[in-house]
Amino acid sequence: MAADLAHLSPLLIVCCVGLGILLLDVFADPKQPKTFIGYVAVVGLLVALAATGWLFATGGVLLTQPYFAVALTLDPFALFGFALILVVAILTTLASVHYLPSQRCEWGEYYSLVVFASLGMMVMVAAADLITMFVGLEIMSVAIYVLAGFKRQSPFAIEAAMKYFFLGAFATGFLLYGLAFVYGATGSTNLNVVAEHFAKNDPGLYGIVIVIMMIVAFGFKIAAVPFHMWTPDVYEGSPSPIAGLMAGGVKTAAFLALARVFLTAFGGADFENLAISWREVFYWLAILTMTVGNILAVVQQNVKRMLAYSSISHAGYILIGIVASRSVDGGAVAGSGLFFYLLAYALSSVGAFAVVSMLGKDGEEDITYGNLAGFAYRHGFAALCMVIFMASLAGIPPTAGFLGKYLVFTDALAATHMNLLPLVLVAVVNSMIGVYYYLKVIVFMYMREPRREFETIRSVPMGIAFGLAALVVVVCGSFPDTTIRWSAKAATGNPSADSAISAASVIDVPAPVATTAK
Amino acid sequence: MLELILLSVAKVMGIVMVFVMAVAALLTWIERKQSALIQNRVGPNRASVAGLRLGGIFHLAADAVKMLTKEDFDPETDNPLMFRLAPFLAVVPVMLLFAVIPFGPGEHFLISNVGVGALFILAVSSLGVYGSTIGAWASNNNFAMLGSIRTTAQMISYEVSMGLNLVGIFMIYESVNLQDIVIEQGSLIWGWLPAWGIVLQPLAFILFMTASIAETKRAPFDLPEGESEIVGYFVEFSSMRFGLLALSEFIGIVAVGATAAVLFLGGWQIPWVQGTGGWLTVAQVGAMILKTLFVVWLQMAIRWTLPRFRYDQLMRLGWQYLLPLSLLNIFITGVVLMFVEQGRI
Amino acid sequence: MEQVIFWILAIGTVASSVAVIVPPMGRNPVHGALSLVVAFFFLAGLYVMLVAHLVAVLQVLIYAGAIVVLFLFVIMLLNIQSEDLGHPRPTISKLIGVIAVGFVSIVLIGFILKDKGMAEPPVGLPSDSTFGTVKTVGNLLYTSYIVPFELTSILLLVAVIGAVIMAKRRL
Repeated sequence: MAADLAHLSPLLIVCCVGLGILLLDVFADPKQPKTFIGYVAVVGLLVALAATGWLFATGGVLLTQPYFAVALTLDPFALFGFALILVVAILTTLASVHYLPSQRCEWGEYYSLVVFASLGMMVMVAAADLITMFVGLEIMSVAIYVLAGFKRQSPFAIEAAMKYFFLGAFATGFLLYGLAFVYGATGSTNLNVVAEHFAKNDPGLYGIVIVIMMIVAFGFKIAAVPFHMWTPDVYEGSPSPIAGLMAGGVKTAAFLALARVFLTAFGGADFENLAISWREVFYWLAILTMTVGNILAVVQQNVKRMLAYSSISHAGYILIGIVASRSVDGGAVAGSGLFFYLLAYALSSVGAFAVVSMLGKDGEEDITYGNLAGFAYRHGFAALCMVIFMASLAGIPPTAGFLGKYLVFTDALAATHMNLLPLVLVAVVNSMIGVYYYLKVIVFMYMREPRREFETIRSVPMGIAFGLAALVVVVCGSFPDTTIRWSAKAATGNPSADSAISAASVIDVPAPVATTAK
Repeated sequence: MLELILLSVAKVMGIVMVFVMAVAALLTWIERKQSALIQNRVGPNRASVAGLRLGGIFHLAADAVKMLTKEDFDPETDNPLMFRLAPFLAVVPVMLLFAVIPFGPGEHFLISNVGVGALFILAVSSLGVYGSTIGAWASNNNFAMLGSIRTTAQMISYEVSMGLNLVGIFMIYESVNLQDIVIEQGSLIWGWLPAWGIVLQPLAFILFMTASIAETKRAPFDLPEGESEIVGYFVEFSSMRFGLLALSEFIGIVAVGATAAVLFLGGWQIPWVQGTGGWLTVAQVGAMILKTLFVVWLQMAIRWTLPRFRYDQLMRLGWQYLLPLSLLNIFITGVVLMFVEQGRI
Repeated sequence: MEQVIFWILAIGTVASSVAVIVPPMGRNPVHGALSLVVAFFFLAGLYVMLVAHLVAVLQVLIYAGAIVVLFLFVIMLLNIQSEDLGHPRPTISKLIGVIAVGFVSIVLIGFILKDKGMAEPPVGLPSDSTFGTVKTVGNLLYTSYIVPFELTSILLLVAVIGAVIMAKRRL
């Protein structure tokens, strides 16, 4: 029990940090700036990150208390997700401390919402039970709905919050409906029990309905075409650091949860043979998402909207990693490229949005390309970091983005269960289109004279945020051995797959009774 | 089957029609008489039958005749159906409450022994708000609308603490079945103190009564109607429709009385008297009725003693005092129960 | 007898749910919300038939008694007139919606007809008398589902903070 609590420490610390800074805000002097709350949050999240690192070094842990084990899995897969989410949250917080006063929305609740959103994401990626995953998803979503509308005085922010909230609520409805069918078909919501049930019984029509519902629900969260319409508006209206959190954190969590649910619970051979196989659906979704996202990104005038569409197209590339992955022995995810790609993509987008955060003052934001003109002459370091992020997103060596793409494509080409060559070809063509609009940013920053004076936020923590992100992106791209090793570790180990099943049979989870399958 | 139905009908008639309706009808007179006594007035005394006044008790009949023969006024509204439905929506939930209240030991004084009885009471009483909300909305009258907004806010706010106050009772008696709770209250602590809810949960009793009075929209929480100063939600209702709305309030008072008696005052238990059967059962039913009437009297006395709250005071009382106190009560109950189970108390 | 009650409840649930969005009831938000209440009642009846008394009561207590009341409260405060809603006109998204709903219904009905799928629930009906009681549900919540249960409190906290931030005039 005590050991379990120590093993759950990343989650517990994040939870306590969220509650603590909420109280700190209550008792703080309302006239003083809230910057220090942000720093406290960063320190707390760093502690959680250290705890995660310790657990990851031990190679994932088994929870001994059965009631914890049925709900959460702390395998390297989840711990990798924890680390990534925590890093994204830390960078977001650092980018926010001086951004919030500039937008006249500096309220202490911001930081606790960011922390709670990270808690929700962490629960999502560690969930061993669909109900736990759902609660985590809701914690994350509700916090992000509010954060999206945090600049309350701006109509764009309200639009963003409303759009995200309504569509997110619909997506939740689909998810719950899907969960109800999972429970109806198997009598359990535990991923391993569900997998075991579907290994013995033909999912049949239940399987089709479940797959459709789940794909719609996750499609909204990862912003895959055709469920992407909200993305540009929401990213544009949200505070820029939060857009980074959405692009880097929410997507990471949603993709990891998606990978775990589909590869663990619906990874069986019977699901491949359904009339609608989820792998086929993701295959086509990936093509659509990459292409539509890229083409629409080309025509954008607003950098934030461009980044939103770029994040859509990246969802397509990540989907390739999902399609290429295969569950081995019920649980493990083959294909380390997925993890490397997520890391590269998350850090690059958080960094890019952190740089974009500089372009705001006095409650206003103007993030058109024109406003970026001559950016490099005033902010050499920020512009350099932006170049790195753009290169990484475009997939230009020696950045992590290039290597991520490379690893995902090799995974896809090595996949034996499906011919993914056409998919990879489409992805390569799309990467080339992408270079155009990423380069456009660089061209404007370095090669255009500033049209008019524009004010920017000068902030050291913001600089630390994108500086760190750029450093990691370059280091992972140039000396990738360690990161690749970590990704491989995250991709293979799933220590609690067996223990969770045994734990489920120990306690009163209603044991599934065989359906009349055929 | 037929026997069961007949028995149920008999129980429903006995409890709801004979006891509840009679008390509710009497209350219309008692309230005016009691308020008169409190305020040193004479009160109703005009109606007479054959020269007999009997303290004006015939006003009961006079009122009924008046209600039934007055003009049945229909306001101009888009929703005549809703307007007509509203009085029923108000009166049905409060009557339904009596379905689970045990008036005596065994099955004969209890319409239906629902396993989740206390929760049933909370669920059904939470529906009472529809009558006033729909009625006011369908009246197509802005004053009624404002009254209904006050009603809704008030009832929603106080419902929360009303429910939370029962949690302590559930924890102590380890049941949500009302008959079980009453039976448990028959035991004695230390051999002499009846284990009534009011003894073990004094704070919860006070909070429950406060919340309940707010739920029945009675003074000092009578903002929904506030007949003398602010226009209430049933301003457009006349004749017997108004009568039904008013009656639902009086039935609500009896319901609160019965619920409080069952949960906090030992129900049909007579203190220090164990066992049932024969004349004892009759005495126990009598005890239950007496306890109910006592709580009804208490509500009347409170109504005519305290002035009305202002709206912001009402909200502050509900959310900032009642709710935290209810949570504190649950917490303390839990701690004490833990110590009791460990044998330290 | 049981069959008769089931069909009454089932048809009632579906009919009142449809009435929430489909004209004439669905045209008026207040009528829609009231239809929703009726649907919840039928649903609670179905829960009672499944011996899930606690869930049935909570359904009425929370959904009918609290949540829809707040729906009504908001709708009435907004005071939407039927002119404000505009005329209903067929759009492509509505068509897609109808097709999707039709597809899911056909799949479900097909499943029921083909396998008699719903006749034998996989979990099996409760065998012991403790099923669905407050005690059993409470035990499950505090043991097998303790993690999601505790996380739910964080969810509620986040929702409360969010509501205050979005709605409070002065922070």
